[in-house]
Amino acid sequence: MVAIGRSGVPLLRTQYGKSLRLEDDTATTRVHNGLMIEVESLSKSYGSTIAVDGLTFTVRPGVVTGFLGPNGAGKSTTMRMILGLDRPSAGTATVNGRRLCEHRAPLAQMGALLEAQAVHPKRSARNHLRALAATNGIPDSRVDEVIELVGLEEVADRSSGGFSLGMGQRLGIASALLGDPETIMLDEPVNGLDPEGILWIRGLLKDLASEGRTVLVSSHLMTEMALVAERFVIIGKGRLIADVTSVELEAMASDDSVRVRTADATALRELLGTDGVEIASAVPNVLTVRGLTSDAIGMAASTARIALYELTPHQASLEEIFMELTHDAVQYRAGTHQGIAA
Amino acid sequence: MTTTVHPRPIVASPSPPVPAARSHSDLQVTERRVIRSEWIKLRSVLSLRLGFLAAAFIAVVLAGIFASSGDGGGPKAAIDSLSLSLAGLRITQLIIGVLGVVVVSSEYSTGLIRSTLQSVRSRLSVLRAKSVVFATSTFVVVGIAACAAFFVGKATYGGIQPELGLSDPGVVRVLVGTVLYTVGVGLFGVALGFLLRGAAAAIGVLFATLLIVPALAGLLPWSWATSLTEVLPSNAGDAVMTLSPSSTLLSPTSGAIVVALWVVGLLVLAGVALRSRDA
Ligand SMILES: Nc1ncnc2c1ncn2[C@@H]1O[C@H](COP(=O)(O)OP(=O)(O)OP(=O)(O)O)[C@@H](O)[C@H]1O
Ligand SMILES: [Mg+2]
Repeated sequence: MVAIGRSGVPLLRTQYGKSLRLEDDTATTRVHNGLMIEVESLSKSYGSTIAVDGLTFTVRPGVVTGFLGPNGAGKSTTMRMILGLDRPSAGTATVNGRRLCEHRAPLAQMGALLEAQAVHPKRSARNHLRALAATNGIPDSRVDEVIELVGLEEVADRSSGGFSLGMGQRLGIASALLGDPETIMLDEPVNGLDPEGILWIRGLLKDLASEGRTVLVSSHLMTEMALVAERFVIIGKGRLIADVTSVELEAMASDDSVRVRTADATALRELLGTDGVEIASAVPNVLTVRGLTSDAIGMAASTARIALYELTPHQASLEEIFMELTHDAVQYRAGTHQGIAA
Repeated sequence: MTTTVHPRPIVASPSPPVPAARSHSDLQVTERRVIRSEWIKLRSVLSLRLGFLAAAFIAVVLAGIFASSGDGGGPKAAIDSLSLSLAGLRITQLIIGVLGVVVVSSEYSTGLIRSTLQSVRSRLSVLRAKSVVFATSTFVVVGIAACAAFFVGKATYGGIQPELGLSDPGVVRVLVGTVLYTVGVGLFGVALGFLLRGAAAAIGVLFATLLIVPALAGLLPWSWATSLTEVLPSNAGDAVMTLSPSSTLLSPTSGAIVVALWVVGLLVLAGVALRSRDA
C-alpha cells in the first residue's frame, strides 16, 4: 500500500508481518563495541501460543530505546529470554556479547526490573538488596548508595510489604542499579507511578543513557515513550514491526493531511480532486485533504480565487503513527474501537 | 560464473560512544557468595526465625510434659524414656518441612526467584546454596533442641521404665539420627518447593508422604507391599529414630541410607526441574 509522504515521495507502509528497518542514523552506532543487547531470530511458544516469533533487533548504548507493542505483543516474554529466565524455542539473546549467565558477574552487566514488588513482604528493603548484592560480591556500601539514589533512605529498614506501588517500583530500580550495570532493562517502569515518580524515572533513564549505558524500556504507551526514547523497537504479535529512530518514525506518517475551511467547498473539491489526492468532509465547508501540501492547496485556491478561512497542516503524532503501525497486531480490542481520527 | 562485489558499508573508524569508566573487576559470582546471599535471606525474615524458634521450643516443652506424668499405666508403659523425651520432635519435623517449602515457594509467589536467578551464573547454585543454608540452620537449631529435650526429659522423668543415659547403647545414635532425619525432612520441603513452586501443593504432598501414605500402605493386602512400606521415608526414618526397631522396620543403617537416597533423589529431581523449566 503506497501513500504519499509529506515530501511527496511514496512511503512504504509497513503491514503486519513485514518489518521495516531503516538505516542507522550514524555510522558509529554500527560499530560493534560489545555493549549491547542483541536479539537474534528469537522465538518462544507456550503450547500453541506463539508469544515471540523470529524477533531480531539490537539495542545500542548511549540512547534510551523504547520497546513498544500492544498488550500481549511479547515484550515481557522477550525480556525474560534476554535475562535467561525463559528458554527460547529458537534463536539467541545476548547481553554485551554473551548470554547473561555466562558473565562473571551478571549484575554488573545487566540490571533489570521485570515486575514491581518482587520482594518478600516481610523482608526489609535493605536486606533484600543486600541479599541480591551478595551473590555478585557487591559491597553493602553500594546497597546504601542505591538506596539513597532512589530516595528510600527513610523506609529502607521497614519491611517492604507496606510499600506503596511507587516505593516498590523505586526498590525494583534500586535492585536493577546494584551492579552499576552496563545495560539496563525495565518492563513498564512507569506503571502506577504518580506524576512526580514518572518525571523521576524519565530523568533517570536519560541520565543512564547519557553515561553511555544501554537502556531498554518497554511500554505500551507511545505518548510516554516519545518523551524519553530516541530509538524505538516496535513489535506486534511477537514480530518486529519497526526498529527506527524517532526521526525515522515521524517520517513514516502516512496520513498527513491538511484541514481547509473555505467559502466554496464544492469548487475547491473540484479543483483539488486529482489522482493521488484524497478529500474528505465531515463538517460542511471543511475539507480534509490528503496528498497535497498546505502550500500547494493555498496556491491553487488563490489562483482559482477561492476564499480560504483556514488552512492547517496536520502532522500525525508519534502516538498516531504507533497506533497505525500496530493496528493489525492489536489482540485485545474494545468492542467499540474507533480507527485513527481522520 | 559472475561474482557480484558488494560494496562494503562505509564505517567510520571505531569510535563507539565511550562508556563511562566502570570497574567491575572484583565482582564475581562464587558458590560462597550465593550461600551468603541465601543466609541473608533466611535470617532477615522474622517469621522464618520465629518458625525455627517454635520448632525448637515445642520439642523441649513436649519432652517435659510427656516425661513428667509418667505413671505405669496406659500406652506410655510400652515406650522407652528416650522416645518419650524425643516425641515432640515429630512436630518439629513437620514445622521444619513446612519452613523448607516456604523458603522456596515464597520466592516464587513474590517473583523474587527471577531476580535471584538472573543474578547468578548457574541455577543449580541457588538450589545448592538454599539446601546448604537450610540444612545447616536446621542441624544447629534442631541439634540444640534435641539435646535440650533429652535432658529436660531426663530431669522430669518419673516412669517405671529404666531411665536411659547417653552412655546406654543406641542413645547417641537415636539422638543424632533424629536430628539428621529432621534435616532430611527440611530438604524434602526445599526440593518440593522447587518442584511444585506453590506452598499449598508442596506442603500437601509433604504431609501426605510423611503421614498418610505410610498408614495406607500398611493396609495393602500383598506381601511384597511390606518391603515397599519399609522404604517409605517416614518408616525408614523410624528405623533411625527408635532404639530397637521392630521387625517391620529396616535396620538403623539401612534406614539412614534409604532416607539419604530419598533426599538426594528429590533434590536431583528438583535440580532437573529448576534447570529445564522457565522461571
Ligand atoms: N508463561 C506463559 N504461559 C503461557 N502463555 C504466556 C506466558 N507468558 C506469556 N504468554 C503469552 O504470550 C503472549 C505475550 O505475552 P507478554 O506478556 O510477553 O506480552 P507483553 O507485550 O508484555 O504484554 P503487556 O503489554 O500486556 O505486558 C501473550 O499472548 C501471553 O498470553
Ligand atoms: Mg508485559
